[in-house]
Amino acid sequence: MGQILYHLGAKLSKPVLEITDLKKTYSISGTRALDGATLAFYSGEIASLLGENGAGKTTLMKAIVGIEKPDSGSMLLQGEKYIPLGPYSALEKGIGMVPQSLKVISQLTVFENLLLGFRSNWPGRTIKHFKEKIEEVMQRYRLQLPLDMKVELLSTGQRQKLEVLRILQNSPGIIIFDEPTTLISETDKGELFETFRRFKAEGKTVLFITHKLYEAYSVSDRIYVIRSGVIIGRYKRDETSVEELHDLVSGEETRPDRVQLSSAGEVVLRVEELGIEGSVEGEEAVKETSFEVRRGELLAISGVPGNGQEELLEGIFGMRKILSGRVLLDGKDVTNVPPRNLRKLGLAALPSDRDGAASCKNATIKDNLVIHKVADGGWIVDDRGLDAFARSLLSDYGVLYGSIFDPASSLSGGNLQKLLLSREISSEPRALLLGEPSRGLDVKHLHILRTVLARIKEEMAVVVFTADLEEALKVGDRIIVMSEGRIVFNAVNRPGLSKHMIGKLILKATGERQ
Amino acid sequence: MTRRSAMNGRSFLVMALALAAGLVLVFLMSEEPFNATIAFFLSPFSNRFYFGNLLAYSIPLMLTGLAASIAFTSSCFNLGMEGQVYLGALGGTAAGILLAGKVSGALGIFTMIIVSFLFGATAAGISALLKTRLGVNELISSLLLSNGLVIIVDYFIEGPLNDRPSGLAATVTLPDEFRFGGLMSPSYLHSGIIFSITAAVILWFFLFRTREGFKMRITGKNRRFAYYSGVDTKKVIFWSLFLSGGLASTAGIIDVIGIHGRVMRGFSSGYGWNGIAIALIARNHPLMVVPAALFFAYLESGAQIASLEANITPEVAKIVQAVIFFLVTAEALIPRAFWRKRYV
Repeated sequence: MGQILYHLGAKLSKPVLEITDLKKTYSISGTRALDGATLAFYSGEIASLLGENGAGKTTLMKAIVGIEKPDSGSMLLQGEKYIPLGPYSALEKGIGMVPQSLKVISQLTVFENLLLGFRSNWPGRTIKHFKEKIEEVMQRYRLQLPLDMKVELLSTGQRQKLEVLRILQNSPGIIIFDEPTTLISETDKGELFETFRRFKAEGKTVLFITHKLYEAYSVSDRIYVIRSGVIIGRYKRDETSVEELHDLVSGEETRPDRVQLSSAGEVVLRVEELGIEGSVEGEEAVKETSFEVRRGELLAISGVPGNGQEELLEGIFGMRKILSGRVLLDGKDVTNVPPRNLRKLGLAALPSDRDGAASCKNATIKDNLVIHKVADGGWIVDDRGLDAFARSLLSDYGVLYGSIFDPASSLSGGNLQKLLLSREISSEPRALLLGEPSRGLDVKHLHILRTVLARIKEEMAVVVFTADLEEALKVGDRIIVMSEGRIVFNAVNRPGLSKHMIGKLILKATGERQ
Repeated sequence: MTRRSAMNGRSFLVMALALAAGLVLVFLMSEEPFNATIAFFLSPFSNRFYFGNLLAYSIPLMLTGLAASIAFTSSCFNLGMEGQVYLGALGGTAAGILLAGKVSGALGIFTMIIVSFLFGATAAGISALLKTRLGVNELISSLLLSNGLVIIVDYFIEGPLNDRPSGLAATVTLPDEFRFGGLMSPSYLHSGIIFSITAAVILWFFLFRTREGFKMRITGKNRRFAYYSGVDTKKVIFWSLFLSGGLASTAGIIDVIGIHGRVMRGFSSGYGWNGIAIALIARNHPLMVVPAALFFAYLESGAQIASLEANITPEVAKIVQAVIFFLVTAEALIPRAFWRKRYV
């Protein structure tokens, strides 16, 4: 029934979902996340919602699926009044959302996860019936996953597919993707967009939330630009250009550029023949890895996620066991030294595991900022001094927040990112390891990040771990690419070096080794 | 913020629901429900004797509640409190018997409390070391250790320290100068209540104002984050369990010094488990432990009085306590809207 309506809708080109004047203010922090957003979505279209961190994208989507209740405004689904009570009820009405952070149960198998996600879990049906049904969906959208595999063994890209399948099996008419491209590799991205197009061909609506201009531009039929909770731009794809969107999204003109220092200083951090333990005991995630970083030189370590970059950072910073080789900080052996002592010696790091290690979401913003300062010193905590320190740091880095006593989970992804960066930089280390510093940042903040990186590398050795090779090329003075735990490319970033060239060089190098 | 959120209305709502459940039970089980209700809910306040006993009963519960809170704060589980309370009572009493007639009353009491503290702290410290050195789950090790300790303490009560002439399963009595003065005679209330409340205030100050307390709270919220940020999490875990064990032990000795004057077999049974329930209601906030313990003591004495004055069994209190456990652990049962607004 729903299907027919959608097709009909496409012909008459009446919107499937109409949103009028939606407003939402968060009561805890007083943040006005939506300030009268009005927009419409059509069937058989891919629509993007483009905006900076904290522009209100996620809030808008949460309102559509009923996770957040808007203060005012109305929504019409196929011309009828639509008041969602939660993701479950939204799904019943044909709207499904793939969330930003993936919510799958890693101890269960793929099939079990999917079974849990079935909207109508009729008792009395056999396992076989469900398996057939799921396989049919996988066939139809060419999203293949091993059904009996434990989810913890899946890559991030595969987990995302699982999330998508979980929504798809309930055949919704509108599918919302909240920042789906932040965590996955280029190949997975390509497949994801292919899936988008398949939905479109079926007359469904895809709602793609992103802060990445090029992605939004290349895949969408319709683009909405949101800023400060208001829709400030409505375009069909052919009516606009990337440049125009860029200016609109950031609200100012920015020009990304790499500041190169003329001279690099002394070697600060040196890694020799490092072998680091993986998540499974005894398995080596990083093998025979050696490099050095100088003050004034920014080293960018890139590669497809899951090839040892994360483990390398955690190993150097004492959070993971080093099995062989050594780490030298200012010539001093600091192999397997706990973070506590490394921090004293002048090493700081930001692990890419944001929720698990780099931040404590259920602690206050202040606690997240001052923890280093509290780890050592006298008996009594100087609360007033720490409050002032936290406030000044937050304003220096332009973090948008309600109160420093709000939980860190009240911050948007980009703002949390800025908070964490400010914390690490404020400890004025000799060497700084940054895992995915650009993840989740929009154009404007990316630019700020690059400026900050250029500034701090004068005083310290900086290593940036990023899965985005383009980003590595933009910020790095030296580029290292890792594959299967080994360094497969290590060279100075000279003008003219491109993603394509590095790819060819890597292929050549690995070919020679074999 | 933790300081404020601990005071939210949720805990009160839980208590109110538990009381309502108690009321329903009393009505169902009694032939004279009106009298029984009054006996259960009001008579604890009706005279000095009942009210004093209520307060007296809350004294050890506050201490075990604090003991559980500090372990929970750093995300550790001290399930060995039953044994620690009992062991602390024995250790402290043994010290008192040895010192009898040799030192002044104040010094004697002080020494007994310290010795008792160290006994329990050592017991919990063993679990902590097993956890930090060998990765043994403290939940299991503390529980097993505690079960063993109970039997060992029983041996000392029946054997070397037994008060033979009395024929009781109890130790020799402490001299009078090693006892707390009564506060509200003829009830059992004693000056140990000052000790318990002071302990709560000190623990609050420790957790929310000192560096080590801050580390404990962060470690409890996210151990990996704390470690990464430069906290020696193993040390934090050790000290939190050590303090937890020590505090649990003082619950035993305070009861001995204040009420019994000797360790009787099984006298402290239930203090440890109830401490966990109290910490859950108080949401690990030391200052909230005081009212939570009072509430627990109120239910307990209400049930006892009701069984004397009306035909209700003391088990009703146990059922009401079980209801609280249920409600506290099943957070999802209570609609968020009920208590969320208090945050703002």
